Amino acid sequence: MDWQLKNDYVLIHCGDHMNLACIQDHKKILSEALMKNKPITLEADKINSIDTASLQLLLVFTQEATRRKIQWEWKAPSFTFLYVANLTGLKELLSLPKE
Amino acid sequence: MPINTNQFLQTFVDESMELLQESEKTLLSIDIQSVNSENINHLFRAMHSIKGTSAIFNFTSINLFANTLESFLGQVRSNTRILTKADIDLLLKSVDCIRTAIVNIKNKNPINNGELSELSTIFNEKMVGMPHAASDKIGSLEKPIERKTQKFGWDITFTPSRNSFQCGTEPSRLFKQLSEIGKLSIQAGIDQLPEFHQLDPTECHLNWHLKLYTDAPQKEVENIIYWVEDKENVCITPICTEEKESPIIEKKSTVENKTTQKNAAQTTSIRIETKKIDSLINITGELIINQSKLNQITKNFNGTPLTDIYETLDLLETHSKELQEKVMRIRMVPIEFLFNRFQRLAHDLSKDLGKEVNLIIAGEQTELDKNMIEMLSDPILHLMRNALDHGIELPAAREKAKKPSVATIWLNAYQKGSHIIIEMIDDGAGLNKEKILSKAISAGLLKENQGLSDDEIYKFIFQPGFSTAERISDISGRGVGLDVVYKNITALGGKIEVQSKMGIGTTFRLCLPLTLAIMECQLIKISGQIYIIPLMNILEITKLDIKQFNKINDRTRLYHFREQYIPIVFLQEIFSIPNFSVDIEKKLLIIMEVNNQLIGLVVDELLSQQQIVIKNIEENYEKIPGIAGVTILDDGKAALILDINAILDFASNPQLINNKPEFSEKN
Repeated sequence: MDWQLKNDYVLIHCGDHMNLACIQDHKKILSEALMKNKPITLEADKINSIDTASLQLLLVFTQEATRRKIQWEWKAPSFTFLYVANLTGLKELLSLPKE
Repeated sequence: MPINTNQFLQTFVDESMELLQESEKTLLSIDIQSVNSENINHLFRAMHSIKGTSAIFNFTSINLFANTLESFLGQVRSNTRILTKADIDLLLKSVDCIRTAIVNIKNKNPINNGELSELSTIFNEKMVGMPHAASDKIGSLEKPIERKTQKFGWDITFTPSRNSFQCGTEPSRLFKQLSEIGKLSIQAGIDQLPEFHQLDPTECHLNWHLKLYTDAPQKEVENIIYWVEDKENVCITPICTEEKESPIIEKKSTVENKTTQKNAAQTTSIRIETKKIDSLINITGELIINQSKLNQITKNFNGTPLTDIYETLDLLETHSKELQEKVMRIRMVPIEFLFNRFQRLAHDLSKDLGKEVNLIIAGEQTELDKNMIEMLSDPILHLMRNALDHGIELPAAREKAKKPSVATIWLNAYQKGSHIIIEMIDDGAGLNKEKILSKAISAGLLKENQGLSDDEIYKFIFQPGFSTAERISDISGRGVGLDVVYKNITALGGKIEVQSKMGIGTTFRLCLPLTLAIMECQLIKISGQIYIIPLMNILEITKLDIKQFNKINDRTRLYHFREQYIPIVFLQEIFSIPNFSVDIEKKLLIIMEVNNQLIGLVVDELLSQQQIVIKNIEENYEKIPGIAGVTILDDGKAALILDINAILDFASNPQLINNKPEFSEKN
């Protein structure tokens, strides 16, 4: 996972794998992105595997962005990501698209 | 560490019992002519709570029955049903039934689902005139009725422990497996999620509520879940639905039985007000400050005056005493837990006896040692039964005596110094002194009327087998009861006073020490060993007068004390202290009173009187006849506390004593 500052928004690349082994780094990256106080786009198209801990992190992150009134959106979430989010009952809470 | 729900079972038992007791109190207070809606709300809330908590522990039959009662009360609450006296009796019976089930859970016995089912059916018929789903469910637990149209699944509550991610639990994998055996609906709970900056992402703050519509038996579901998660974090209950084909239901809820047998807590518990804990924390803080102050003083000590040390030691002493008092107060619980039981007794018994009685309870917030409260239950029960059966007259007789047809019994408690006073006052017929005296004479307890005082006359009613009742009932009148009351109260270190006036009523006043754990005592020395006697048993201490000493045989000695002969005992004999010789002239005699009997104990030396903390000897060693416990003295040595009742037994039965003394009555 990493982030890039674009002209008027922050682009977060979620990467291929999101799991417990790298979750602390991911939190740090998400925290840095929040600090920019700009609209955020979460690019999730490459996610091949994701665990519940990472979904929980993304959920808390999106809640925090909303709380700070920072606009955020998903970009092309992968099938795997959608499948696991649905399986854990977090899909709607993450505001992921139904299809 | 996963959360262990077993540890909360005792809380479930305690809370449910409290709710049931409150419900019973509320039901008994309902005036059928004008039902107070708050009373119904109170009952409704109690059943709702029991329903919820029993579900957590998988006590399905209780859960479903509480649900039925909740529905019934809901109808009353919404004014679609008028509450009748019969309904109240039925609700009281239901409270009893749930209470029995909870006691069974506590004692690891199976729950009698049949009783719950029967009552449930009655309520359902009352509600809709036909069987209700809830009662059917209970019935199905009892009898495996072939109900091909019944449809089932499993309701699963999953609350992973915080470290479950770190332990390798992956909920998505678990849900995937479950979804392979049926249709799974998942609802994630996010109420425990922290804010982003507070989140430790390796910890799990989510929980789930799953509904698995499946034909799979519970065992299969359990096998999947328990493979990846501790049982304590999961709650599985059957659900009923009209959407799916029915699975086969087992004869009884296996979860319920298993949980009942395995998880029932062994220990009793006590609920403590937070402010009591806070005051303990405060005082502990003070002690720590004292300790560091002492450390500081000793570190910098250069032989200068010891004023600082003395001041700090004084403070330490004050705080230690305060801590002791506060810790003792933790065991104190309001006596209402005991008193409330008697509302029901008065209600049921007066109905059975055809009497009308109003029980007025006062001082129910008075606090008493929890152990004491449990031990007081029987004595007060006997007093109450006695008052209702013999003290209170039938309404016609009361009217004839120009008394209100509804009798009153007052149950009152209050603190007086270091004692608790419990009074039971009735406005019944009162004690018949003439009858008591004549009975005492005919029973050989008294030769003739010797001009006894009222107190002395009333003492006869506490004699075993003594009864003036003309009629023996299953309630009282057999002469068993009041002697038990006397025995129990004196065993607790208490006293009973009786006041009575013919035609006006009777007062029984129990005076009890605040706690059983601390006692005012006399320290004595016998054969170089320190022993302890409870101060309450000591009547008098006198120098042993050889002229009053009468030796009947090797084992029996009597002492002439104020116009009567009392047995005297030598502790050396009882405790088999070898080769002791008694130089009577130099001894002291402690006259003690136990169960209305006097006994003299010969002692070498009288030491101080002090408050002692009683420690149980049986827990660490074994029961020693004649010893009630042990305490630690100021110098750190242990001293034995004498069991005066047992000493009296030894005095009454000298054959129990094996040690033969080297007796030298005179030098």
